[in-house]
Amino acid sequence: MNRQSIRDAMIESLAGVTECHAAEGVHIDHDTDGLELLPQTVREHLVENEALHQEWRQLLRQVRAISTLQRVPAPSDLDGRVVASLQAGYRQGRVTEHVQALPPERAPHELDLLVRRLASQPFMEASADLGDLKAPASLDRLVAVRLSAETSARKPDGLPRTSRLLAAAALLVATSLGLVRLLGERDAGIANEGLEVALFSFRVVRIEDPTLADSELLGLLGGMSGGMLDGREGSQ
Amino acid sequence: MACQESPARGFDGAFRDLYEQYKDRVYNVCYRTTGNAADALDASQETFGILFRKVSAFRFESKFSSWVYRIAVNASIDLKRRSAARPAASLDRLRSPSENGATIDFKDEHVEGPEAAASRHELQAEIQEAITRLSPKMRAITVLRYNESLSYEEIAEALGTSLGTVKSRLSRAHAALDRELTPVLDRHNLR
Repeated sequence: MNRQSIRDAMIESLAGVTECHAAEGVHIDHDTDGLELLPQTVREHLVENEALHQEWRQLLRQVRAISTLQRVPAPSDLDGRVVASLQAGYRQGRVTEHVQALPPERAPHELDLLVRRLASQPFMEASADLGDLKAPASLDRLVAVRLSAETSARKPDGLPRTSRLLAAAALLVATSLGLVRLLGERDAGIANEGLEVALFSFRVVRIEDPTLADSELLGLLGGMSGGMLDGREGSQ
Repeated sequence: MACQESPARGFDGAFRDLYEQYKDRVYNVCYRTTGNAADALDASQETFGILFRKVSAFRFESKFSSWVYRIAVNASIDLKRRSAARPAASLDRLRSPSENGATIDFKDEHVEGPEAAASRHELQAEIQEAITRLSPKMRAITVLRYNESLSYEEIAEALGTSLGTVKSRLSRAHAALDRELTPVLDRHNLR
């Protein structure tokens, strides 16, 4: 026998403890080793092997302790609860039988309408709860301010002011070579040198508002921007 | 067979006999498996509800008592699983074992004296707690084997498993009991 089969045999023999317990009541002699409960072959192993003997004593101790738990009688509440549950089940069964015995009926057309109305009811109720909401007066003011700001910033049928300024700045950079050439020719008087850039000086002009800018510069930029600065594309 | 009467006849006759015959065994298994009186009462009620609904379908392919134990064990495990999902403090822990439903042998108390009886009840409550700390399947097999004194074959029928599974599960239950119960027995100097 290997160790596991000896352990299995020991556990199986523990049934004898509960049988003794049933016969003797709660007074079990805990001083005995209970070796008499084991088959002869297992007993021989235990006599030779102290570890197995100790394991048997532990198992015996556990089962003796569990066996001291007395049977708990069912409380009187259980009678009433079982009767009630049985009767409820019986009533439910009877109702089910009655329902099943009813002849089949076609659902009336009105049912469809009723179901549709019921289906849309939650949405209608939810909408009704909201009531007639009015936009606050502040919204009117905000819209008015925004509208007037847009109008003032925009030239008639043109682009917004910000876009125009950006376009002007971009064009100023992009055409810097052309400006340099023009100014260079005028200042240095080099008429025959072609595209060569001569020594010159120029001013950096910050344009806060195109309407306040120098008319000559505006004319120049307007021509180069193809009319974008004036809000009229295509003009020279 | 009287047991195959329709439940529609109410709770008299065969059903009453069946209930009287099994109510203590069912309640005991439910009490030891759930570990408290309130859950045991619910599980017992559930067990008899199932029993009466399905008794006419019982085919006698196993022992009737094994079938009853099987319903009781499953009802108890299901109930514990459901209550584990909504944990709540149990008032049972505050009460003595006698209030919990466990019997007190008054004759023993006269012999033992009140202190010894109180000590015995305390020990029994701790043993029950140690059993309750086992997994539901190990708890069920321990109760069926050592409280209900079922054979391996009856346990296999009751739990719907093979004999081999019963043996291995019982062996594992003893290993778990060694961890849970030995400290209790040491504390009470119980050999």
